[in-house]
Amino acid sequence: MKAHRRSSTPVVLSILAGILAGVPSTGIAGTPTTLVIPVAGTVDDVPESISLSGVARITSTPVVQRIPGRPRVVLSIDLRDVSGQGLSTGTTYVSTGEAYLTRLLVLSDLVEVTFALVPSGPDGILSARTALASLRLSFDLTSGGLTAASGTLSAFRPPG
Amino acid sequence: MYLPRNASKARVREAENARRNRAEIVKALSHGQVSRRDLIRMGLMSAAGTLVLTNGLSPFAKSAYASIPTGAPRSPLFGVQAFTQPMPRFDVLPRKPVSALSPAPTAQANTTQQPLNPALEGVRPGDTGPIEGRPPGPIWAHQEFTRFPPAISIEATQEGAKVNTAYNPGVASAFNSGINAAAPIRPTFHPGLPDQGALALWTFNGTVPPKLMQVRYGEPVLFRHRNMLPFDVRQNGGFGRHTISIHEHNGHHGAENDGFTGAFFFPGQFYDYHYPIVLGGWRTINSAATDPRAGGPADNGGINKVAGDWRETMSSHWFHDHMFSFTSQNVYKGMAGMFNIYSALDRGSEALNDGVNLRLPSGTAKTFGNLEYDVNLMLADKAWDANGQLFFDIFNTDGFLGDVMTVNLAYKPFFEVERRKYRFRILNGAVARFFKIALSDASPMIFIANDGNLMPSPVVLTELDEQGIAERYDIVIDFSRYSIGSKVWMVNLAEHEDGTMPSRDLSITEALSGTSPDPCVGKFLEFRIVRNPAQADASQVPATMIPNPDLSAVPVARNRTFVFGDGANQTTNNPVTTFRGPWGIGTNGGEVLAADFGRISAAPRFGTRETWTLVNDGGAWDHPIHIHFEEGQILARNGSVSQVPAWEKGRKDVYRLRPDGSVTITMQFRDFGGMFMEHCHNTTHEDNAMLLRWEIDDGGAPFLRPLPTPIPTPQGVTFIPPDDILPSAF
Repeated sequence: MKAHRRSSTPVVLSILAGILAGVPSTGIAGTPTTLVIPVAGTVDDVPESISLSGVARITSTPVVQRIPGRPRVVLSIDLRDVSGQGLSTGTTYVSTGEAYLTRLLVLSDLVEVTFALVPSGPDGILSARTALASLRLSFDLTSGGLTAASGTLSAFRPPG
Repeated sequence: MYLPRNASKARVREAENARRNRAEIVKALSHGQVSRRDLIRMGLMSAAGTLVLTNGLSPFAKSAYASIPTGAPRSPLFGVQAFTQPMPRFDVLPRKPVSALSPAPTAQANTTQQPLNPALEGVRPGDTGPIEGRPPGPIWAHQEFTRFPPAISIEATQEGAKVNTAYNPGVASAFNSGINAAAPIRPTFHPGLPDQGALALWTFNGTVPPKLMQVRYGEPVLFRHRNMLPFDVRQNGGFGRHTISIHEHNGHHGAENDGFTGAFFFPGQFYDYHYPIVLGGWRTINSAATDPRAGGPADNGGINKVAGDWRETMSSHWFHDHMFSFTSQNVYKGMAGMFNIYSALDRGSEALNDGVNLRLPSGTAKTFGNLEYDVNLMLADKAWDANGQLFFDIFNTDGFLGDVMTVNLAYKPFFEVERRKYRFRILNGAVARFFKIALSDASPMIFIANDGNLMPSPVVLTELDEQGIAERYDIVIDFSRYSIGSKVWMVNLAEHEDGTMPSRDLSITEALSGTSPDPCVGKFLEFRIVRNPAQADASQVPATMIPNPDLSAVPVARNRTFVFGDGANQTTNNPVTTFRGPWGIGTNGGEVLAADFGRISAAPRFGTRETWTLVNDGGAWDHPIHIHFEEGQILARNGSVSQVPAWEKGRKDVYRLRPDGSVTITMQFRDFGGMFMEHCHNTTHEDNAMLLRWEIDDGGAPFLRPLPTPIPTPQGVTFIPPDDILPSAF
C-alpha cells in the first residue's frame, strides 16, 4: 500500500474513548422547555400592509450529545396562532408558521424565521404572503433550558 | 470539515497528503486487499470503524501547523464560477415495446449460461454463469407476471463515464435553459471542470444528466439493467463496488424487483425488474376497477381504470443502487435516477379537466407526462481531488460530506423559467447531508407532496423542513410574482460540521451572508425569469388532493419497536451477509445488532396492518429511516400526534427521527411478498450496518417460511438458511 505520510505517530485521542464509553460530554438532559409569548407587528409591504398579532409557542429541546461537539438545541416554533388583517382590504390572513430548527446552544440567540400568511378565500394559497418572526431567546447553558423569549413580527427584507 | 478557501498553502498541502493516504486505504479496502480487521490490527482504524486521529491520515488530527484539526482540502474549482452553466433537465429513458428486449423477459430468472470473464472475483478460466443475476427459481420469479404482463420495456446500463450523444430532456431547448440536446454532453459537473474518468463516475448508461423514468398506473414496466462496469473489482477509481442491486424507491412491487441488498448482480449480467405499477390494496379494494380516481392516463386523455385504493396513488420515486455495504459509494458515484409515476389524479397534463385530474403544473402538449413545468431536481454534495476526479472517504462513519453543491449533477447551475407556476420534485440524493430549502426572498412555496405521496392538502411554507437523505419534497413555485429579467435563488439553510446531523439551521439572511464555514450553505440554484408563458397557465393547486387511506376499520395485528443506535453487536459471521460497523438496530427490546441480510428481524403476516415505532437512541445524530415497499402514515412523533407537522400528515417512506426522537407509523402489508429492508438512509450509516431485513413470507406458495437467503456469485446464486431469526420476528 502506497502511503504519503509525513512523520507521524498513531495516536488514539480521548474523543475515541468518549465514543466507546458513551460518555455524555455536555451533561445536558434532553428535557424540553416551552414558552408561549405574545408577538405582534406589521408586514409593511405591497400589495397591502398586514397587521399581525397572536402568540408564538416556542419549545426548545437540548440535543443529548454522547460525543464532543458544540451543544445544540432543536427549536419547535409554532406561529399558527398568529393572524392578521390587511390594512387596505380588511382581508383576514392566517399563519401556517410551523418550523423545526437546529441551533447552537448559546446564552442569547436571535432566531429569525419566515412564515407564510394565507389570505382567506378559495385561492388563498396562491396569494400567500411572507412575514418574519424575530425571536430573542435566552437559554440556561447548564440545563439547556429556554429561560426567556420575546419577539416581533415584520416584513422580510432580503439582504443586499 | 473542509478547510476555508484562505487556508495556508502548507495547511492545504498537509490536508491533501492526508486525503491521498486515506484514499489509498479506501482503495485497498474496496479491492479486498485489506480488511477492516487488518486496519484495526495496524492501528489505523478503531473498533467502531472510524479512522484513528493520526496526523498525516485524519482530517481531524492535530495539524503540524496549528493546534486545531486540519480539515480536508477544498475541492478545486479550476476558476469556475457559480451560476454560469444551465441546469440540465433529467435525461428521459426511452420507453420501448417489450419485444425490443433480447432475450425476452421471463417470469423466473433466465439461467442461460455464458462464459465468465476471469477478471471477476472467484472465476477460473472456463467457468460459466447465468446471463441474469436474479436469484433463480420460483421464490424469486416475478410475482403476478401473468396478471400484470409488462406493457413496455426500459433498458439501462451501469457504466463508467462517457460522453452523452443521445440526451433526451423530454422538452424543447427553451424549457431547458437553452441547452442543445443534440450536442454531446461531457461527463463533467461544469464545462470548465475536468471530465470525470470512466472509473470515477458510474451512472446509468454512463452519462449525465441523471436519468428519468416516466411510467403510469396500469402500464406494467420491465426495467432491464445491464451491468457493464469493469470486471476487475480493482478498477473502481479507488471506491465503489462493481456488483449492484437497483432499488425502486419506494415501489409497490414484489421483493424480487425491490433491489434487495443481497440480490446483487455482476458485470456481464443483466437483471430484469418487473414493475406492475399497481395501487396498494389491489387484491381487495376496488378490485373491479370501477373507481375513475384509481387509474392511469390513457393515450386519448381518458383514464385507464385499475384495481386498488386511489388514496394509495404515488407520484415521485427514484431508483438507485443498493449494494450491501457499498450503497453510499455507488450512489455517490452517480447511480441514482428519478421515477415519475402518472395517475388519473396526477396526470402530468394540466389542462385536462375531467373532475379527477388535479391539474398540477406540468404542461399541455401530451395527455400525460408533460415536463415543461414539472421539473426534477436531484440535490447532492460532491467532492473531488486535485485532478478534479470524484473523491470519497469512508472513514467518517458519521457520514461523508462533500463541499460542492450540485443540482442534477451540475455545479450550482441556473434555470430559466417563465412567469407562471412550476412543480419541482426535489430529491435529496446526498450521502449524509440534510438540506433545508428556502427562496432567497422568502417567497412562499406550496408543499404538495412528501416522498412519493401527494398531500391530503397543500401546505404553504417559506422555509421547507430539513430534508433528509432520500426524501422527496414536491413543491410549487409561482414565478408570476417576478418581473422578466429578475432572479431568485434556492438557498440551503442547513449547515453541517459533520455527517451526524445539521449543526444548525440558519436564517435566510445568515445563509446569504456568506459567513458559514460550510461551503454548501447559501445559494445553489439560480432561477432566471426570462419570459411570459406563450399560453395562459392552466395549472391548479387544489385545496384537496389525496386523503390518507382510512385504516380505522383495519385492526392492528402487531406493534413493533426498532431502536436505531450505535455500539452495535454482531451475532453472526457469514462473510457475505454480515457487516460490522458502529451502527445497528435493536428490535423489540433486543440488543442493537449490526446488519446481516441473512437475519430475519420482522415478518408481518400477509394482509395485516401493524404499528411500528422507530426510535433514535440519541447521541446528537439524526437518522432518516426508510422502510421499503409499504407507505406509512405517521401517527405520532415522540408519542404525540400534535408533534406531527402539517407537511407530514400525508403518507411517507422515509422518516426523520430527529435527535433523541421517535416516530410511530402504521402500515399495511399486502399484495406481494418476499424479503425487504429497513435502514437508515444516511447511506454511510446504512453501509456501516444500520440495516435489517424483514419479510412477508406467509402469503402462500411459492414462498417458504422463513425465506432462504440468496448468496450471489458469478457462477450463479445459491441459497442458505437464514443466519438468524429474532425471537419476535414472527
